[in-house]
Amino acid sequence: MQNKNLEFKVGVFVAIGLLVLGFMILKLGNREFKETYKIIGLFDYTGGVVKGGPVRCAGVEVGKVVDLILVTEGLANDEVSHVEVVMDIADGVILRDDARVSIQSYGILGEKHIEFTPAEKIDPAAKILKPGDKIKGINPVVLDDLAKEGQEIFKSLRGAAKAIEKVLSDQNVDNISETISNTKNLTADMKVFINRLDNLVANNAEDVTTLISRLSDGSAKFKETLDNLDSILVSVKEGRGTAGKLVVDPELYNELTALIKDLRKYGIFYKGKGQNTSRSKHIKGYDSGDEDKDMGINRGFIR
Amino acid sequence: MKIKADVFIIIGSKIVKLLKQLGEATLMLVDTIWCMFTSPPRRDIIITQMKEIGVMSLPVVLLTGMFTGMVLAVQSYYQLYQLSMETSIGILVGLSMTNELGPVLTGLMVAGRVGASMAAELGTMKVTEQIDALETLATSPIKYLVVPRFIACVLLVPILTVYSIFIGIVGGYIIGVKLMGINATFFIKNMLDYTDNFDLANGIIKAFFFAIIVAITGCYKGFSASGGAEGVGKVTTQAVVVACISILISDFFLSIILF
Amino acid sequence: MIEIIDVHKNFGELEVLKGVNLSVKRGETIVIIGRSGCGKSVLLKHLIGILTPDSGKLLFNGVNISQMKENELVEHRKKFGMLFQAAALFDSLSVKENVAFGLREHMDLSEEEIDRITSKKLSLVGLYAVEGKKPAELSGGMRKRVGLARAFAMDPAIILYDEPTTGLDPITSDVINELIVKIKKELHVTSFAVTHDMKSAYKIADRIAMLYDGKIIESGTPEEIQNTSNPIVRQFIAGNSKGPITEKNL
Repeated sequence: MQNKNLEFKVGVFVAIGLLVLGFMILKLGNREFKETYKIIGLFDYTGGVVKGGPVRCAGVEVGKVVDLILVTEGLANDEVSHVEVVMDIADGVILRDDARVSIQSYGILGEKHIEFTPAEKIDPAAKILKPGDKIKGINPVVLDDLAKEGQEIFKSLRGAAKAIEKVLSDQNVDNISETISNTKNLTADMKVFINRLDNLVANNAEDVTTLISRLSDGSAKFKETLDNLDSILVSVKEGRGTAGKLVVDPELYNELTALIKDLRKYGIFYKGKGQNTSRSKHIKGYDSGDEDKDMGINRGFIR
Repeated sequence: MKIKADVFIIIGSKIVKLLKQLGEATLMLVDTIWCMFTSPPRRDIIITQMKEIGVMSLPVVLLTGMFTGMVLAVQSYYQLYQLSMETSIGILVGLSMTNELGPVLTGLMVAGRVGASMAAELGTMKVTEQIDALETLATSPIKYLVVPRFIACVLLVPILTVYSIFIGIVGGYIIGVKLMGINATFFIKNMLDYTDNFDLANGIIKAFFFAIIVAITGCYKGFSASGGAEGVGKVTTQAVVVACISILISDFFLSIILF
Repeated sequence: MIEIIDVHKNFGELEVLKGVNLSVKRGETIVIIGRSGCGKSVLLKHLIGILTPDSGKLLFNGVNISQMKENELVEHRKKFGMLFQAAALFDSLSVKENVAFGLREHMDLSEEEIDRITSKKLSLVGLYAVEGKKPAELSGGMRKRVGLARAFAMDPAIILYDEPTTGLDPITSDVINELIVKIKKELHVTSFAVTHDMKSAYKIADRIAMLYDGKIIESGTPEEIQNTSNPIVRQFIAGNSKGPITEKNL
């Protein structure tokens, strides 16, 4: 009997211990989603996402990262081209391919997770992601890259400033001011001429000879004006003077275009949401076709 | 010059003795594991030891686990409160109980309670020739005395650790939520977010090694007893000290390996 | 049956056995006498394989004990029973479990069978209705007797006695001596005893051998020993504090 009692005690001890263990295992385990499907996110840079990390949709946990694959295909020497982040998403969670897929930090310790942000308006044309679908993700901003881009902006700004300086410091400035003063003179002379004409009309053919001599005088002045105007047009044509430069000089034109391009790239000349896609395509000068997703102000994919 | 030479001889012989003991204890472990599979001891002997080691140790393990969890919560509350992070007490209690304090405290308690009693019991048997009597009865002392204790330790210390971890977290919860007024949901959620089965497994693996240390140290020291009651007292103290130190040192290395 | 040939044994610096030669015949009771700490118990532990000699041989039926493998040694030990100086009963077990220990470990017997054998062995040493008691509840003499019952519970061929009468009053000592003689007669066992109690030695021995300074210096029947001319043996059996033994040590 005593022996039986002993076994009972040990049995109770072990049973309760195992129950507690089981309870803790269930509680502490990453809450598993029973039925899941896989989606693959493509990233150039994952910023420290780990296996088992959470996947959230609009801030709600809907799955977890199950694998990180370094993709080397298509490149020589097994270079890594990008990373495939394999995610398990709970069944019943519908994600469309127009959602923004980004890598975000959360929590006190700032661990990384994958965040799906659905598009603002539901677009019925957007495809619903099926198991195994791939979706391009937005790379987290890398500080080094940011600094590099900034440097490029400053470089092109400096180029533009130099070109403008060059245009302004030429003898063109003299030409311009001469033209302006000639025009001024002409205008004044024309005024006098018109006054005289008025007088003539009022006095009715008084001193016609004087008029004629004055007229020939005026026409000489007029001819001079015309000559001056002619020379301005010629210099514009030849690319002298700011206006001429603007029309003719490709360097200045390019510099200015590049400047505006860069400024737009960083959202300084922001035209509004709807035009993002076409603009970013235009600026980057690559054609990734219609599949190209809204990249916002970030750089798009190289591939 | 002569004194210097003597010092070297003393230190040298101490080291030789230490290495010899380490070797003997390791051989004993090997013998034990070998014997465990080749000629397992009778079931009732194991059950008796299980009761001694597991069931009887439960109160002291629960008590220390509970109060450790509570102390952790109290101490960390005042620190974390200043950072407005008091809801992360759950993380602190959960992680430290599973990875560190659960197994180590259980190991130390078992070393103090079970290791000491093993050394004393086997030591007494040694000095009263009961170990020799076992051998004359054609029974291996390893099989009859060490293996049951070893099996009971290795099986039950991890379970004791589970108890300790659980009660420690409960203690932390009681202090954090009931006394300090932290939101219970945040306490539990934060703890569950940062503590997972990996941490629990860590603790249980550690407990497994601590069990081996306690059982082998206790038995080895008991077998090495000589010279009557005084000798038994000496080996008992040694068993507890050596087991505790070994637990703490091996905990350090296990922590490195397991993380 | 047993042959001890030139056995040496050291414990660290201390030389305990310095070339012991002795042979024991079947059915014989041999008693080794000698001073305390001269290595008598060490010699006994060699016979049962607990200790192994540094050099020399111990033959049992022609087989070298110290070269036996683990399983052979187990079989070898089953042929031996040993009564320890302080009985060495297992404290945690009852008297019955102590006596039945070998039976449980090595024989597949039913519970009734074990009960029958243990009470038979206990009655042989004159103990009744003590089966349920723990060794701590027994007197020294009773413990010795339980130890004796345990020693021959498995019907061994040889029983080793390590100072069977030490620590007992003269009457109890005599009871134990009587028992040893009785067991020898009834079970026809070979006995190998070590003692420094001369009264006990004369009573139980067929042959007495004296171990001194790590060697057997004299061996013979009790009568021969009593009439020996060896001064060392004479001093020992007479129990004098003055003589060659003490002179040498001083």
